[in-house]
Parts: sequence; structure tokens; C-alpha cells
Amino acid sequence: MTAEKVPDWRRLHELMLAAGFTEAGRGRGHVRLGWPGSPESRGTLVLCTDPTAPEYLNMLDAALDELAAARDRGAKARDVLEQLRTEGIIT
Amino acid sequence: MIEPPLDQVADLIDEVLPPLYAGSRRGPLIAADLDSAGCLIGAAPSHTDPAEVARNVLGCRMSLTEAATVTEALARAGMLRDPNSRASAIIVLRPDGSREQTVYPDAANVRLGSRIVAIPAGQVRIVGPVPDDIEPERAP
Repeated sequence: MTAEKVPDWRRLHELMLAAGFTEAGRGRGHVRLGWPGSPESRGTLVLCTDPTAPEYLNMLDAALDELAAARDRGAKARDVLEQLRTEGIIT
Repeated sequence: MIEPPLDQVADLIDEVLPPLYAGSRRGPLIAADLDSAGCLIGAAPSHTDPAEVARNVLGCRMSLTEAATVTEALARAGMLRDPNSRASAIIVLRPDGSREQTVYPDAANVRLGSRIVAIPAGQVRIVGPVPDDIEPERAP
């Protein structure tokens, strides 16, 4: 996913924390966020916090890609569960 | 349990990257690669030469000469897994998806409820899922 207008990392960070992501670590020029409900130390999503870094846009795009992939997986899981519910297999 | 110091590793990588990558912030991505490959301290002893694996991982993103320089800096900072470590570990998976890792300095027999689990030196056993009320304990 390529953002038409690349969001400021602070806004993305703010939205992710509000959604339940947790801050798993911070270094010079980056912050790592743990997925909601997952152990903080594994599979974290990295946001570059240094807009002057050559990778800044690529890293933000990569973070957006990861979010989009998670959204797609969630949608497919929901479809399966809804179908099972429709067939009365689960309640 | 030793957690790999990912953020310190990331910062160090950004510091020691060759001049070609001046100002780069790719450290956290490379640190994550090294962690996945089991090169960093705290990783399970799955290969005998963590430095060689680190050089190969780094070599995917830079020249092999540069990768060797960065690997040497990581080794000097004590951030690579000790290849001579005989530590063994047991990882207990909980029904809720959480995991608990206990590291032993050598081979160990661990009592897990009514079971005895043998862990040879330098190896890792993953056990689970087990009920919440069972705790691993070293067998007498």
C-alpha cells in the first residue's frame, strides 16, 4: 500500500496506540509497537521517527502494508466465522 | 529469560553502518532480521556460529565486507549469542497464547506437572499448551 499522502509518523503512532497497540521499544529514530493482544517482544511493527532518514517513506509505507495485510486477514477470518454461524455450526 | 536488546542493537547498527548509508535508520529492520535468524543474545542455540549467520543476514543488505565490519561491532558489544553457550531452555506455551521461557546453564531435567522433560545441553524444548496451573520446575 502506498499512501497518497504519507501520514506524519506521530499521527500514525497516536492512532495505533488508541487502537490498542503497545509501545514495545524505542531507539534513536524508531519506535516499535506490539500488536494488540500479542507479546510485546515479538513481531513488532516499526515506525521510523526520523523524517530526514532516507528510509522514512519506505518504512512508513511498510508499516501501512502490514496494517493492510492484517486487515485483509481479519476480514477473511470474519467471513469464515460468519459462514459457520449462518450454517448453525457455531453460535 | 533474556530478551534480545533489539533497540540497542538497532541503534548500534545505525551507528556503525558504512558511510554509504549515512543517516540511515534501517537498524531496527536489520535487528529484527538478526533476531529472527537467532543471532542475538537470548536466542535459542540453533546454530553453532551466530557470527557467520549474522554476516550472511547482513550481507543481504550490504556488501559482505561491510557485513563483516558490522558483525564485528555487534560481537564486540556482546550482542551476538555466545557460540560456546551450553545453555538449554524450556519454553512453555500457555493456552492464552503467552509463552514463558526458562533458561538453564546446562542440560536439565525439568518436571512439568507429572512429566519429566529432558533438555540436552544447548537445546530448546517447546512444551505446550499446558494448563495455567502447571509450573515448570527443575527435577531433583
